[in-house]
Formats: sequence, structure tokens, C-alpha cells
Amino acid sequence: MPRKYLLIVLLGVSILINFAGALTPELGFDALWYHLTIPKLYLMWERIAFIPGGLLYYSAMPRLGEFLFIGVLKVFGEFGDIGAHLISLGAGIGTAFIIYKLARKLGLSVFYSQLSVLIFYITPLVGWLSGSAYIDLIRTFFETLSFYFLISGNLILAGVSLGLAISTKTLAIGSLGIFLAIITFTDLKKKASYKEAFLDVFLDGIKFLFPAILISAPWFIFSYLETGYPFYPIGAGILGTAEKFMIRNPIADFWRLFMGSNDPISPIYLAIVPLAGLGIKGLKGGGRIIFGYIILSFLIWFITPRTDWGRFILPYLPVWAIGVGFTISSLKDKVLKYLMVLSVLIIAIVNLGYRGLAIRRTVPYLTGKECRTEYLCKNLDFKTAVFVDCDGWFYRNIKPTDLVLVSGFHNLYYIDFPFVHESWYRGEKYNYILSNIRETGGERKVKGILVYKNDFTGALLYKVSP
Amino acid sequence: MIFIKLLSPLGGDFPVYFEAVAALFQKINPYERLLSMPGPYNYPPSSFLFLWWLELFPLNTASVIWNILSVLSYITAIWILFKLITPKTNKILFTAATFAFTIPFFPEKFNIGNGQINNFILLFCVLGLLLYRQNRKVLSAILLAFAIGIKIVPAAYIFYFFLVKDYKQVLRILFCVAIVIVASFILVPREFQELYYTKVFFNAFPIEGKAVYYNQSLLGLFARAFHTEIFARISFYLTGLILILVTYLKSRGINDLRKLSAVTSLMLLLHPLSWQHFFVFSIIPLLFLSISIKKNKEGLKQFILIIVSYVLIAVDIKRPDLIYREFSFILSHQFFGVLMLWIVALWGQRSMRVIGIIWVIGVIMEYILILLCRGNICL
Repeated sequence: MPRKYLLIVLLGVSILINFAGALTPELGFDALWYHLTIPKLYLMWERIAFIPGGLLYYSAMPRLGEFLFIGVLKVFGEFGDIGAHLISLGAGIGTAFIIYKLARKLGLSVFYSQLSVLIFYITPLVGWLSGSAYIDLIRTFFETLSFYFLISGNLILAGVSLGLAISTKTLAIGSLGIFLAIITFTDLKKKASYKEAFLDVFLDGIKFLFPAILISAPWFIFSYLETGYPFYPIGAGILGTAEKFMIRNPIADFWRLFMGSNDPISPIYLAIVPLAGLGIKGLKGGGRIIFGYIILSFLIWFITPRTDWGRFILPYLPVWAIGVGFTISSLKDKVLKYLMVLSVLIIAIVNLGYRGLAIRRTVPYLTGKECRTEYLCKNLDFKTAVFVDCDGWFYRNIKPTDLVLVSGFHNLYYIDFPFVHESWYRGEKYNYILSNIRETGGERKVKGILVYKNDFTGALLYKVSP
Repeated sequence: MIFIKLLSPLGGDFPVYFEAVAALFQKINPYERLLSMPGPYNYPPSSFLFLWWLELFPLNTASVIWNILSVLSYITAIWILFKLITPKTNKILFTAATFAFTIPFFPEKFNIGNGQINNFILLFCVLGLLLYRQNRKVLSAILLAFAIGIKIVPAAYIFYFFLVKDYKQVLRILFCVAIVIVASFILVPREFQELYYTKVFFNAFPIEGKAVYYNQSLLGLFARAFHTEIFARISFYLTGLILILVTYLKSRGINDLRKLSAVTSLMLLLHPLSWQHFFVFSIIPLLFLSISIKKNKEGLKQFILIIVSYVLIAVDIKRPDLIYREFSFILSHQFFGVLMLWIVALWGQRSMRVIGIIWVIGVIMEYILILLCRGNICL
């Protein structure tokens, strides 16, 4: 089989597997905590607002992804999480497409451009994110698009795209620095003197920054007006140590990123590093920009809070993947070149196998042998304070006129009855209290009677005395 | 600075030799148990042909004599290695080498500090190789056989004589080894020898205790890397076989110094218990390769590899327990240093390519093992 078809077949299989994963109910912690819960609450209340209290502080942060989810939650109803998954899946495929176009624009052949797509797309990380309501792939799509426009010389559209990326996740602000550095470097190279270049740098910087700031600023203005902090919760003193910017060991972290991350990426990024030092044929224009981007983005990632590993490097990986494709195609040693191509294919197959095994638990649901609730109750970890009405008791007994005060539960997306959480409770009249036995350690002392108890989910429901 | 403490008793290993000799002369079987180590004396009975003189002195005096002779043996060995490379020894190079392989060189510091026997074995081996070069093959065979009689591992040099197709020399060495074994019966009774050959000898093969940081061999690397004993053992035997085969095939196109470097490196890599002090033998490939490479661009790349190998072999990690399991490969730094020497010896100008290939394969294998372990198949 011609090698280009092999790559396309592998990509096709990967997309199919990811599509299957996207059709299953959401299980991700952050998605059930705020990515899906916030848009669901907005639909419930028919308004968009900052949600005070300690639980949904992300409602003050940029939420373009969540706003897109409002639309699919409205359209897909009960299956709104599937709609959100399809957005992530689309973002992943879109990113793969942009990688290909970008690699071709930078001079890579069809084969190595496809190889770059393979390196990025066929990883367990992209796989599970494609079937989740996390917003990292959406951010990655916008960041990659921004870089594409930058390379194409369209600074305004590059700024717009990066503005959209920042509107999806605050951490994308780091890319402003990367892109400005690239614009500066490129302009300095074009002119004979620094004086001439300075004006170009200034004007190009404005062309890029203005749309980026214009598009992303409303989120930070909103945050400032609601909380007093434009980058809330950063600076507000509510983040844990893991969520702070710190300096660590770069070599150990680089190794861990590709070998020890909870969500495996690809070891190809690690394997190629010493080979790049063995000699590659001349780095020109585009190649230098790629490697400059790689170094700068690694530095940005390195100081980012380590609440997660793979997801936070993901937005930069499209360009890294092109860098790897570039390096492999430029290797002077033919034996090493063929070995690297073979390694990419082997890793792609291994990752496909890993991803395939990971989604085998979805087969009963996808084939109709399991209903949605059964799937959720079988696969969720209730120690993470997630609520699901596993036995349908709430569906049968809580009326639309009731109001339940929820306490001790963290992930609220699957609550389908009228409720108010203790963190944003402002005196509403409730007639039930839903409590979590794992948080309270047992039954609570409330002015009411216990009407429901489920040791499996941890739910305790008290009917409040009038 | 261990070298300024030579006039005082040193180390945990010298008392083992002393006690073994003392036990022997008191007609107590050292292969049953010793007080100075957890278990029996684990050198072959023929080692007493070298150690018997310890009985003539009290412990402290014997220790000081041992220390001085050990250092002198080591320096003499370095001088002989220079003789093997060039007819006229450059005094500045010799001084520099003596410094580089003593003061900052952990394997030698470990040897002296522990009162180990390796410097003497090294001397007998290099002397044997020098005599072979001078065509005094019988004497060469006797010395090598004597070294093998003390510690079996130098038998690896028989492989060298296979590679140079001197099968007569192989037979001479085997014959001399037989003589040495027979001669050992003068000192060591049959019952004592039986216990060594039926029980103690086989203690080297099980994997228990091989994962300690001090074991820098291939088996040590696999014992630390893998969760299951059977997989570590299979990987060790398979990889060992491949290394031997590759050495045999690649040695056809290289000179004798490179062959010796490759064989010495192989000996260090494949000995199941290559403790760090045994890596004094790495001075053979380090010296041979660094002095014999060509003075050009390709030679410079090889020289850089040799320097990197030296650093990896010379250093010591004071707190190996602080290294996370995911980085356990760092604990095999001496193994990787000698592996690089083996590659340089066999591949010369193409060494970078081979190292690149091994690196890529190693990273891919590590990744696959991590994924398997995530799926509860921890090998």
C-alpha cells in the first residue's frame, strides 16, 4: 500500500474511534464540574451571570467554549453533552487539517505533512479530549489557526484567532508573548537596520495585538466588574499550590510530560530531540520560526501551573508536530530517518490500540445494551462527589415546583430537578436538602426527615419540615 | 580523599578476604559462612593462591600493605596500557591519565576505599595482554589464568582470542586454568571446593539483590526497570546474546585495540553483578579508544562520546533512593557509559547513528511498557 494511503487509513481509523467516544455520555471531572454545568445553569436561569460562592468560580473566566455549549445543550437537550463532544471532535479534526495546510505552506512534502498530522492527532490525549466537553481542543484549534495566519502574513486574522483562543482559556495569553517575539524576529530579519525594523515591529505588533485584545477583553472586564480581579481567580487567593506558577526541573518535566503524563501523548517528541543535534539540513525561514516557537512555548508551558500536564501543552503540539516532521524530513542520516518514520507509525498503531481498548467500556452503551443512566452509574467515580439519579427516584418524586438545596456535591451536570447549590444559596425557599454521605460521614442533623438514601451514590435526601 | 588514607585500614571488603584466609588456615570452610559479610565467601577456591599471604600479617598491617600494593598495581596497569598502545609512553599523557583515573574516578576510589581486589586482577589481565602482544603466549596464558582463578569474570578475554582467531591461545588459557584449579587443592580441601562449585557459584544468577544501585550491569538495569523478575531475566539473556553476537560479527573489520575495548566493555555489561568498583576495567577501552581515534571531524565526535562515557562512569550518585522510579534509568549511568564505549569500539565513525538508534528504540520501548502498565500488564 502506498505510504500516503497508509497514513490516511490510520487517521481515518483514529477519527472513527474518536467519533465513537464522542457519542457516549460525559464522564470528565472538569466537564461535569463547570464546562457543562455553567451553560446548563445559564439555560435554566435564562441569563448569563457570575456564579458566586466557592464552587463555580470559573464562571468569571473566559468561557467561549461554554457559550458554544449553550447552543448544543439547547438543541440536543438531554444529550447536550454529546453535542459538546462533537464540537471538541470537530475542533480536533479542524486542527489536524490546519496542521496539514501549515506544514505544506512551510515547504514539507505531502508525506511529511501527513506524518505531522499523525504525530499530533493519533494520541490518547487528543483521543479522549475529542470525546469530552473539555475546551482544550477548541483553544488548540484557535491557536493553531492563529499561527497559520501568522505564517501566511495575515496579522489581523492571526490576532482575531488568538483573541478567540484567549476567550476560550485564559492561559492562551502566554501565546501573545510567543507571537510578538516571532513578529519581532521576522521583522528584524527583513530590514537592514534596527531603526527601520522598529517601525515595522511596532505597526505589526499593533495589527496583531489590537484584534486579540479587542476580542478577549470583554471577558476580563466582566470578571473585574463582578469580582474585582480581571484574571479571577488568579490573584484572588483561592487557588491551591498546584495551581500556582512555579519553576521546576525542566529536563525532568520534559521527560515526564511525554512519558509520565496521566494522558499519554507521544514519545516521538522526546525521541527526536537528540537526533536533531545529529545534523539536519539547513534551517531556513519557516524552520527557524517553528523552532523558535517550540522553545518559547516550552518555556511558557514550563511556568504554567501543573494542575495537568498533557492538556496544557496540547495547544502548542500542532506546531511541535510540524517541527518533528520537519526534523525527520531533514535528517542527514537515512537510516535514522527511516527509523523515525517507522517509529511514528508504530506509535500511532500502539496509540490506536490503547485508545481502542480504552473505549471498549462504551460498547454496551453504543450497541444499546446499556441505557444512559446505567452507563453513567457504572463508569463514574462517586468518590468525586458527582450526582447521578441512578435508580430514577428523583425523576419520579421531585416535582418541578420543588426546590432542592444541594450540599456536598461538586459535579452537578446530571442534576435534572430544580436545585440551588449551597455555594450560591441566597435565601431561596427550598423544601429538600440533598447531602453527600461521603462528605458528611453520615446522616446530618437537619430540620426534616430522611426520605432517600443511596449508599452507592452517597446521596441523602431530607424533606424539610415546613 | 581516600588516597591520603592508604596507611590506615580501609573498607568493608578487605576484611572478607582476610577472614576467608584465616578461616581456611584454621580449617574452617569459608564457603559456609563468614562473619564479615552476610553469607559465604563468594570467590573461587583458586583465589587463595593469590590471597594466602594475608595469613602472615595481622589485620591492620595486612590492610595497609594491601592498600599500597593495590594503588601501585593500578598505576602499573595504566602504564602497561600505554605500553600496549604505543612503544614510547608520553609522560605527560601518562600523568594526566593517572590523575583522571584516580582522584575524580569513582570506581577506583570505591576500590581503594573498600579494599577491593579488582586492581590486582586488572594488573594481571593487562600484563597478560602485554605479554601476548610481545609473543610470550605461555606466560600470557598463565597470568590470564591466574586472574580468572581469582575472579571468574576475566574469562571474557578468552572471547577476545576467539575474535583474533588464536584458538591455540584459547586452549593454552583453558589448560592453565585447569592447572590453577588443580593447584588450588593444595590449599583448599575437596569438601570446601565442593560447596563452592555446587552452591556458592550459582548465587550470582538469581535476580534477587541485583536491583541495587551498585550493580551497574545490564541485569542491574533490567532489574531496576521491570516489575517482574521473569521478564527482566528473559530480557537480560536475550539482550546479552544479541550483544555477544553483534560483537562477534562487527569485530571482523576493526583492529586489535578496538577488539579488546569491545570485549572489556562486554565483560562489564554482561557480568550479572558488575558492581561499581569493577568498572576500573573501563580504563582499558577509555584509554585505548581515546588515544587511537583519528584527529579529524569524525574523530572529534567519537572523542566527545568517550568524554561523555568517562563522566558517566566516573560519577557517583550519593542518594540513589531519591531518584523516582520513572527515572530509574539514571541509576545505570555507568552501564550507559560502557555501552557507549562498546559502540565506539565496534562502530567508530558510525557510533552516533547507533546511539541514535538505541535511543529511539529505548524511548519507544519505555513508552509501550508504560502504556502496558496503565493497562495493568506491568512487565
